[in-house]
Amino acid sequence: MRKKSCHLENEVMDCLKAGKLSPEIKKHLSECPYCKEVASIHKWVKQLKNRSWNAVMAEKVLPEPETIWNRVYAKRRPDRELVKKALRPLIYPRVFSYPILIIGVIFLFLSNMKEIGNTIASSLLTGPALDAFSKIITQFFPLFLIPMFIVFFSMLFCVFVVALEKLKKTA
Amino acid sequence: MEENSRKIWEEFYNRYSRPLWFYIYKICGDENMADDIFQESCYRLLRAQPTILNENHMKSYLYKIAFRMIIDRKRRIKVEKRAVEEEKRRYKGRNHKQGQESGILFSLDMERIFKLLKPRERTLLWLAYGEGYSYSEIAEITETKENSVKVKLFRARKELANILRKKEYKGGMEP
Repeated sequence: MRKKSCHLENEVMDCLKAGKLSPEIKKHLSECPYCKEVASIHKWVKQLKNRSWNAVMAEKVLPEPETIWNRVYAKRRPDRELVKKALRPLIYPRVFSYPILIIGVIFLFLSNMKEIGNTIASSLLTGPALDAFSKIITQFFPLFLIPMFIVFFSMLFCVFVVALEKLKKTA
Repeated sequence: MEENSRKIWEEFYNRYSRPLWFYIYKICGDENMADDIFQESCYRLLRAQPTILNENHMKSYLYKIAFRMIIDRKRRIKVEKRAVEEEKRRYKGRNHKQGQESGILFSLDMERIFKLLKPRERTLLWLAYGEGYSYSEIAEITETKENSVKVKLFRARKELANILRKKEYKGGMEP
């Protein structure tokens, strides 16, 4: 049965790495099949490396260290700045969309307060509550269209802005 | 501070980039893949924002990233055939002087033999004998235990020795 290790393996490897074999190691190599195999495979791989290196690396051009550095760090900083700059105009519409929405709804109710009061009062006297509600809807629906559009588009805008900000954070 | 880190990176890169690329190329056997893995490994090293205090540790870390990526890609793509062709083209493409043909064939033969091994076996042999890493360093790079490295390296050596014996390889086997 062949040996699976040798107590002098580290010394042999050190000598092989240094490229100098002492007489003791040489003697050991001639006697130990394990170390002999280590040495021969070491030599073979080294030879392969040297031959292949000359053939492959002579013409190989690698990227400059600055290029790699810039790709990593340029990606991190100026891009973030650009995203921030690009999103800056969106801050104002987002901030203003909420008060505009609230003001729009209040204005709508105040301007139609009289009609709303009359309709509710007359409906309650003449018919059931359901009829009154349907009357209100049919009568005032056109009045709701403009603020509804305002609300709808402001909400869409808000969703868009929030999504963009999330994208910015994950970028 | 940043300027200092940049300088350290440049020195580190200039020292280890070529051996690293060559190692990746030898293990994966495809130039384009080697380029990709090499650049991605460098990016990942820099993105991890390491403090390059211990150069050896950083070198091992870089080799570790590269090793993981090679194994990952190797699972997906089989490039062995392409690799041999690539090697052939490289050797033939260069302007060799007359009388060097036997040397070229010899080198090609070595490449073919090396590619008969599994990527993990190639990695172990390359790191141990091509790069001169110790068992503990190889264990760190390949994310295995030191004893396991010893056993696997022993098997890889056996495998290569068997292939060389089968091919009746004569050159360069005597220590």
